[in-house]
Amino acid sequence: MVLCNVECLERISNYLDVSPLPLEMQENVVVATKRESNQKIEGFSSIIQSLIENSKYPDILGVNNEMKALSQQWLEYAVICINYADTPSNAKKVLQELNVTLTDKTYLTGTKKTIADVTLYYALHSIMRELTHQEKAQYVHVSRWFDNMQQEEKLRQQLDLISFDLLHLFL
Amino acid sequence: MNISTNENNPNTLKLIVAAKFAQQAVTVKTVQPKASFLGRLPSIEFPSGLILFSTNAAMQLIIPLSEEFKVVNNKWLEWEISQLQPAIALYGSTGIYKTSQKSCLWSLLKELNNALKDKQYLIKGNNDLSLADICIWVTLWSTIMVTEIGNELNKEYLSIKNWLSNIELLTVIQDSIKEYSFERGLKAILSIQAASWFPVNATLNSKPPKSVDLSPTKEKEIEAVSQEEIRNISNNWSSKSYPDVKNFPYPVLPKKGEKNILITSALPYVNNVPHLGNIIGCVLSADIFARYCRQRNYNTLFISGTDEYGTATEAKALEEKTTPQNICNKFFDIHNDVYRWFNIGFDYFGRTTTPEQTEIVQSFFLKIKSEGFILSESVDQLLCESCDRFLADRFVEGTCPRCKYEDARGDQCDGCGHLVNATDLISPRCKVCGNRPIVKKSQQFFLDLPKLENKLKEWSSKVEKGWSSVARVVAKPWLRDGLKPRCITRDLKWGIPVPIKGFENKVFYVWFDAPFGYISITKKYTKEYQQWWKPKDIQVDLYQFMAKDNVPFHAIMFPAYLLAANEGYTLLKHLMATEYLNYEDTKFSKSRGIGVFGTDARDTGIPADVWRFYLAYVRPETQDSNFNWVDLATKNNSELLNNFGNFVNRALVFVEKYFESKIPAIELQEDDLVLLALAQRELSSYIHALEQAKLRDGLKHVLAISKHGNQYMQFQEPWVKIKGIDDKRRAGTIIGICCNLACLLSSLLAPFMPCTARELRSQLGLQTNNYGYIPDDITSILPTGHKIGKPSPLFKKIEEKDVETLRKKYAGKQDTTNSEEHGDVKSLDNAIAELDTKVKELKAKHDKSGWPSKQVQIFVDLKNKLSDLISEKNKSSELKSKNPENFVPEQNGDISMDVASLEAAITKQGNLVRQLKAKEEKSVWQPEVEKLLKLKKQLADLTGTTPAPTDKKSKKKK
Repeated sequence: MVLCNVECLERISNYLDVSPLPLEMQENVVVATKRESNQKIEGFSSIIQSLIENSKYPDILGVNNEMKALSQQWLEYAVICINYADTPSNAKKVLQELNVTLTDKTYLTGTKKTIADVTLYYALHSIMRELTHQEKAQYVHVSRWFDNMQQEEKLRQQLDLISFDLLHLFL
Repeated sequence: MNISTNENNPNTLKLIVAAKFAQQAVTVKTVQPKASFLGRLPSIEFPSGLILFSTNAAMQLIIPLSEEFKVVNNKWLEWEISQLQPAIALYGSTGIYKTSQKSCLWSLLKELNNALKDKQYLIKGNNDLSLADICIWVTLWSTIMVTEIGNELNKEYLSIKNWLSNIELLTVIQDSIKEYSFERGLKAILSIQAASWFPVNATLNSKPPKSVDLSPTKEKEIEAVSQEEIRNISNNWSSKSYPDVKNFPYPVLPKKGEKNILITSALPYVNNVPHLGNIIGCVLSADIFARYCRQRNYNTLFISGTDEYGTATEAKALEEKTTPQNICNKFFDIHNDVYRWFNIGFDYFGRTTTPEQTEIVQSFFLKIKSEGFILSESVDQLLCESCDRFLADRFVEGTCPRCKYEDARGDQCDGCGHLVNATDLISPRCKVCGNRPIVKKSQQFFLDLPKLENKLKEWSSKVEKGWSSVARVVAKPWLRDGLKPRCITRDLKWGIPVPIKGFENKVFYVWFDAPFGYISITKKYTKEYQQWWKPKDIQVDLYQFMAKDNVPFHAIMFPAYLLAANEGYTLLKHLMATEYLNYEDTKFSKSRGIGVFGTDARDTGIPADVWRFYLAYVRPETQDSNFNWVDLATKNNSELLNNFGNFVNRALVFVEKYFESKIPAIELQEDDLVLLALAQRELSSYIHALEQAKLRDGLKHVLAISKHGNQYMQFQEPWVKIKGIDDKRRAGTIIGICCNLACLLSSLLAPFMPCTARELRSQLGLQTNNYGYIPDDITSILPTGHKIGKPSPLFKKIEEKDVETLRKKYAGKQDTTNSEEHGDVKSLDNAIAELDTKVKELKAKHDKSGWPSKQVQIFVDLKNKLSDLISEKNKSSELKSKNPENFVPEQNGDISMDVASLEAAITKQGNLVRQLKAKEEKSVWQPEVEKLLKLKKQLADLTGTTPAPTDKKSKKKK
């Protein structure tokens, strides 16, 4: 099913040290907080932004308004595009686009890690895991970014460390 | 602010409205989508140089959201871009706007209509126009309001209608429309489509409506079953018969005109207990493949054995104060037991310390020599005069020429970790007696590989297509970089003697000796071994399984020997190398007690078949993979228990309960044919995968068949139909098909899980002396009236707490010592110092005289402990420096001039490195990487923070 799902949000909550909201996947395949909760929040990006508000790390959305807008842009990209990268043809296009984006950047929004990087790491993990060496080499900037991201143990949680073996990538 | 847009794009209007609202000026430029970033338009450039292609993000930057209504504003903005716009785009290309789905355009409008009831603006309590209002208003007003939907909407959704017309009257809107004029309606929708991408539509469109709700897990798009597939399956079902599996008499020999498959798995070295990675790397992979071949009626011979000669065995014997042969016997039994427990069905599991091996190796050597491929040269070696022997690398110790560490080994220094040449050691000493060895020239034989290079290249270009990709990757550089002569003899005692006068005291090196084990072990199996290895007029396909470290021996050395002998030997055709299996993200280590070893597996209480299943499931086919306890339990519970087990059990219990354990009559209808056609696809893919020994893929196709079966049963609901009188026959058909699929599944699963397959076949009322033929086409296997056996569950649930216990048990000793005994580096330092003194004392006492063997043992133990402690110390200080707990989402703000210039330099150097890495060899970019790292270090020193790691080399231990 879609990649911007409940599991992904729970990992983000963990990462931000906030207790996870009671979440469900609605019939229209959009995540939302459960009906019982006081104020219903609907939508993947909206939930993430409200998680940040409740966390100790407000700056992870971006240190200034421009950075915030950039990371919102990539959260939106996650919802519209990466969400459907669970089919091979969509995955291919998403990886191509991200590869272009990351060609001259350390992180999606430049030189600082934001929530957009964190979110994309979780959403893409199952895709990256299945890539062959050839594909990893093909999307080398995504590979570099992802490998950099996954070095942070707090971020990785229980997820597999994916191998980006230099021998294979540059042969 | 500068807006770039394609022609007629209504989203541009949103930006203009926002700018008007904030009283800022904009310019609008028309460009082609191709020329823009990722093909997205409109995009907007801010005075700072920031460019955004997300209209919504840009609007929020122009007009910051008030804190109070942020959550609900966000919700509607997200709704607009992720649901409304895609639905409108879909309408633009298909004309569809009403379906049963929640996400269709008409339902979305209904949702909006409800939200607008009795409100002037979308956001409750906010009496002003909000960003969400602007955004949704522009989208609707510009597109569907001037299509057929507009008329319908004006009649049905009055709240939207009023809201739309109210907003249209606002001055800010009127001004903006004047500033940016475009054609509303379909043309506007097409303009959005041209400059955006909504993959959700592709996903919705291609799914056949029936299967949408049935797939609980992630699944690939299912292509609709074609009429031709239906015709084929229908023909096969009624007319094709199901073949029997052949009974192969001993000995299995190749036959002309048939498929003859010779399978070997790399000979495990005798002095190690194999771990899970070793097991899936060679013997288990080979076994699964061999079982598959037998069930396909290929003439199949599967052999392996232990590799027993060599220095390591000799050293181990010395350590345990026994003979090498005793060591071999002991470990051979361990290996044999482990493989037997895992149900590895060798035709013969032999060893290399046999007279057959000696005879074959010696005669091969003489033959290769007579063909002119053997050179003789003298080499410098260390000779211990008091022991009267040449010292193999691991029998020498001395001071490291590089770091002056006193106890460097002959092959490697534990102090600095560098490789060492035994002859370069400063003041070398014999590990056995402590005396200083002398350098002496010794005459050795070499295989003249350069002379064989062309033959090898010619052969390899013909066969390498059939190799796994890692095999090709490892083998290629050898031939590309040119081969050098290889020394094939050694001055050792434990090995096969060189049958040449003057060389009686030398033996063959393991590189030369071990590969011939395959031939000699086949000879132990049958006297007719030459029919397999030197076939006349018969095609024999040799498949060799191994982990990637063994590739050079099998891709270069062994073929070189056989080609040099020039007697028509069977050469490797399919080289099936795997990558490495890691254990819970680290490496298996016997000495540190990390990981599950062959002997441990049975103690876990998890059946051998489940181990086989999981190891095949994570087989490192295309890249290193990871063994993970939680994953093991999950796969067991979800794939085996809930998917496979559930399907076959439900089918069999149903037959037992409602049809007196007899297979009911089957009358195929369209739904049944569709299921069988889907299963047929998986079966064809299964065979395609296993023919290339892609075992992991094959296993997934097996599970896909039972998944299809489950969905089919769920959809057809035979338990409902059985109660109706007319429908009882229909229920019979459904369940008859399920039982037939269960029967097919028992054969397909058998190579992976032989015991389970046998159990299932007995529940199906089949003979259990074979596992059934693996057919190309699905046919009816169980005839109407066939009596099944007693069904019972095939799998047990693995509880999370149990795997947690197991995970802890095999997590290694160092974890506990680290936290309890040696909590910090300081106490580790003390422990090391203490041990070091002890070791030095011991050495001082026994410097000249030969050491009593008991003391040797103590010394060796102490030293191992010492090196463990040192590595532990390095590790824990490394951890400290990495400081994983210190979570810093943001860097500190104050930046002095120095920091700024350093950062600039880092960015520049980083770009350079990236460019180089994309194009150049490692030797070119490596120095630049070093520079980059140095710069980062400087920055870190200056700011006192750990720099964000951008280069993997600095992070990963190799």
